[in-house]
Amino acid sequence: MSLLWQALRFPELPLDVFRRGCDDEPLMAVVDAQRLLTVSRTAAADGVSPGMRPAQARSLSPDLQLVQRRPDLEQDSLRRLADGLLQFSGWVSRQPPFELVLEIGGSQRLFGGMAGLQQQLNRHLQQLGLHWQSAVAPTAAAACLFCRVGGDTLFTEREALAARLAALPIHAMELTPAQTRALSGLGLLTLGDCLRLPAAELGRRLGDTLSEQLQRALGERPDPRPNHRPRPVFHGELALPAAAHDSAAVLFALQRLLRDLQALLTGLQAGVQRVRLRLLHEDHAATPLLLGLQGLSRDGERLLVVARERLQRTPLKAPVTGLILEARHLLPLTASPTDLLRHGQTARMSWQQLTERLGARLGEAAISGLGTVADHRPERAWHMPAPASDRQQTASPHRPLWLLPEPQQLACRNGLPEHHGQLQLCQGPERIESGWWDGQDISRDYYQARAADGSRLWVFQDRRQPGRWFLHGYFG
Amino acid sequence: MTDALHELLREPRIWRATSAPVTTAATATGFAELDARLPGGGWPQAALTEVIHAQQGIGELQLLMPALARLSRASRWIALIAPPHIPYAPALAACGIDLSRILLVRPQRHVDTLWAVEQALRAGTCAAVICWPGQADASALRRLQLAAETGDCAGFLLRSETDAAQPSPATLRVRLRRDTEGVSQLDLIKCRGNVGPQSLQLKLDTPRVQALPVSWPPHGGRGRERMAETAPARPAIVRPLYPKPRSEQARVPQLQLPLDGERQLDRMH
Repeated sequence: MSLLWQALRFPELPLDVFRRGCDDEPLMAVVDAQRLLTVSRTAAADGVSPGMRPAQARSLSPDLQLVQRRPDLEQDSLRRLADGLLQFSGWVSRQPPFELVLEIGGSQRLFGGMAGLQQQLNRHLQQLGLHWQSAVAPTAAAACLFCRVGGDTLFTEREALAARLAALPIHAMELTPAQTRALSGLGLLTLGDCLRLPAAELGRRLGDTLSEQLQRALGERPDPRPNHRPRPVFHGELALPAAAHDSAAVLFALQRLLRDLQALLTGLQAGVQRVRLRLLHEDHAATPLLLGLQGLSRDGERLLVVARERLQRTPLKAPVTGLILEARHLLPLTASPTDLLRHGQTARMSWQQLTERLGARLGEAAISGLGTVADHRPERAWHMPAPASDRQQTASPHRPLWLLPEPQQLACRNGLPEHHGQLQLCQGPERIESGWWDGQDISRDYYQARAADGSRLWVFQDRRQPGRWFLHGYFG
Repeated sequence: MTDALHELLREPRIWRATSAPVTTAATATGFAELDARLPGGGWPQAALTEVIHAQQGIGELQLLMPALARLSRASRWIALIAPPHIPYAPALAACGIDLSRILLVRPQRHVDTLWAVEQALRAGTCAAVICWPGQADASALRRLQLAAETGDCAGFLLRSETDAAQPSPATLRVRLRRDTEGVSQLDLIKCRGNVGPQSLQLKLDTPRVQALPVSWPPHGGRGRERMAETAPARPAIVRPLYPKPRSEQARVPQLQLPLDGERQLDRMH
């Protein structure tokens, strides 16, 4: 199996780190060293172009938002991008500032061939809200060269390499200004022109780096690429171009970060149970939110659902200018088995998803399972464990389906209890006398009784207080 | 004139008995006489059923128990939302319900109750959702009906007579009454695919289902081990404590235990 390399270039990364947090294209330009570096589509439509001075750009487009370049955010983004691409390839290499290469020859079969892989990769990058150029070639250096001239090249035959490279203009290579001048002075305009010259002569005149670049592109010289190693924690930061006033905008930005997280988790074959979200404000302390799931998961959608419920319940205390998402404990999570026979039911939510959603709004204490406890005292014979955790089930016949939280004292007449009229005792007594060991002991005689309105009640006479009757449940 | 009539019939609040589909998926109620009257032969699946009862404790839960016992042993869940009292686990287990499939939801506020019911119905995780929604207007109930259809879930609303006075979009509405003799009467107020109100008598007091064996481990086990462990069925032995109801004279406890010894024990504590 031969290696096949895909180069990805993100020329608009300086702008993308600000832009990907919002839904529509902002009117925005990134400034680096007093010159515009990258401009958004809407700004370009106003006539603003890279290389302009900020004052000139403002005169063309008065509402233009100018932001200072953030190289730290860019490198952070590139690193997270590489983390996420580990789901497509085991060999991802970062080439700062804007490039990544990944080996896809080994993994294309997993994604159903080259077309399937490209489709999934494109969808992944699109969901992250990035702009990219891509090229696939048999050597990493060649892929980078094709990528730099605009991308959209895809070929796998090694024999075609020399012919394809020959057509590229020389500015595809990384050249110093002196080298560019020298090459154009010699009348060398394409890589083909350079390749026709003897390599030793070219190296002597223009420096070894040039001929080395060409030899790497042709696969004649080894081209080792460092493998990207993901960090075992997630820290994602997203600056919003305009402060978000409602939860919808915050959720959109959060969705982007969750996609980053999901991609990292998929690459690492890991899952998270709790993530920490911080909403940054202009002049307030950050709002912390802890998002929890019932079990390990790498599904960003589930976390988003929990976040949505939380944000709808707790209004924003101030406009949000940025988000920080952190996950400290990434734990190994193998893929969940899928059921062969139940294809029709895949749209169903799992019970964990349902309880998470209910718990996010109602509070986790409001959701529980139901179980029995081996105790003779009726009020202690049941409990509320976590859902799906109770394995011991003791069936007790002759118990009511409804139990009152506290026994309710009944009025008496002639020694017999009353509840909407005189009660008629039907079955009993059942004596329950237990609990001496913990000081909560009871001594009661229970009866099934029928009320005048037709309801069946569970009543008892307390043997410690003779003559007093209590209602403890309904037979429902 | 006919236009006006057609206009009226297009009104979503008007339901025509003849227009409803007769064949609907259903879960047997466990009461043969009731199954015979219901279209599909049981509680409608993927629809809303309203059980209206005047008082508490007249068998409103007992009416649902056989169906819930069966559903709890299938792969999906049963959600109890906003119950008015404690659903008593030992009694539910005695009715044959697998408690590890029960989800108990106790919202604090009324709006949260309706929201939770809708979520549980829609999710498709639950085979049945039993809820006590209290006051709910027709539009809220219609949302629940749609959610039940989406999630293929049997929704049971247990409501009192006063709450249930308005018209309702539920597929099935029944009213449960019990006279002083303990005979339960079930009126079918509204039943799609069945014309005219009907009523029948049910014996709800006699338990239909004794405790079924609970498979061990309930759901988490893997194929072969689970089969091996559940193969020798271990029925919980259920013996009636009192084989027959006592006579009218035996109302007060007959058995007097010597209490002195106990009191001494108490003092020792």
